[in-house]
Amino acid sequence: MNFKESYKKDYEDIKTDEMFRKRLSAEMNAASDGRKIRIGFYAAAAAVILFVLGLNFLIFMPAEEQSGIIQEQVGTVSTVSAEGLFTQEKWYAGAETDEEIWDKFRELIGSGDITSLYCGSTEQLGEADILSGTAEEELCRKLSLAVPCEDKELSGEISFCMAVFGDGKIIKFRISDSGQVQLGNAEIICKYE
Amino acid sequence: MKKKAKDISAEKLVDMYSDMVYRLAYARSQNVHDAQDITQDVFLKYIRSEKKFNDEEHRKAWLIRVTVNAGNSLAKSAWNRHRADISEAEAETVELPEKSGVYYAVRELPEKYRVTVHLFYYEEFSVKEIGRILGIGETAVKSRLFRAREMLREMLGGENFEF
Repeated sequence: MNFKESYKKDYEDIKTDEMFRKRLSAEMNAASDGRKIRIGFYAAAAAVILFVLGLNFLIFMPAEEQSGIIQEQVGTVSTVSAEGLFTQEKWYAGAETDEEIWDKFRELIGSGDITSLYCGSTEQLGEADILSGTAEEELCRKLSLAVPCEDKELSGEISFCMAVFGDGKIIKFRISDSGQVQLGNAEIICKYE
Repeated sequence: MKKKAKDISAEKLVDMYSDMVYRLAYARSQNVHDAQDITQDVFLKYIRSEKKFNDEEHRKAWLIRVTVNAGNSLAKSAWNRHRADISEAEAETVELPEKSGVYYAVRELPEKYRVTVHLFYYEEFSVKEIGRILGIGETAVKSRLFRAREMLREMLGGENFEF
């Protein structure tokens, strides 16, 4: 008897039913619509902030400056606090210990839910490369298997990375060309192959 | 030359891949409800990620990798750890489907062997591809398949299976 044939025959019948597939498609469409609405909302909120900041700048700007006279001392410009507008739960919410935070990191980075992965030689994102395709997947796969090591600091060439996830979560971390990864300034450093 | 993967509708994606994801999730969890939860999780991750794929093979490999990770996450979750005791207690009363001895023998394998066996025998991935999906080396994949076959031979007893 052939094992493969027998196994395949048994598993052919294990499948989703029509109802489940319909419900799943509907949930996916709803999630997609929700995402578009959120993006629209964030764009609108950003536009409102820029408008209010601009308005405040004009209102509180001394009359001389508004009329084009340049002053050496510029008065304090009142700004509108944007705190709380983009409230985003921390990516490690719920994780208490360093080990739990690392578990969360490995879980998220290996989830395949990353929309953009930036890596650059400085902390300035504008100069960073955006990894995609196999390079992104390979790095994520390796990072999802990173294990704690005894190292106390990163050595070798360091890259500053930022992973942006589909649900808006952001993780900043640093990697070195010797296969180390560090979350922010956390004491524990992990190694990946 | 491989064809570049097109953006496809949710309905089409579900039609094409839901059975594949569900089967792997089931092979991993051996539980209909967990398999459904994992499948739902994988497809929602897909839609949220808005990922672009080079070709259909790339899309398929991504879905499989995310299914494996989702299965691992579910197994590690506090809810699942707590529920394990209850499930074991209730296992006696659950009616299992009518399947061959192979099905029940595979059921008895440790989880990591079941996933490897499924990817190799059902999805027909090569050892190298399975290594990439699971994030382990080729030697580890070969070792898992070897151990799984040994255990299956023992469990299937007199039946002379060709692996």
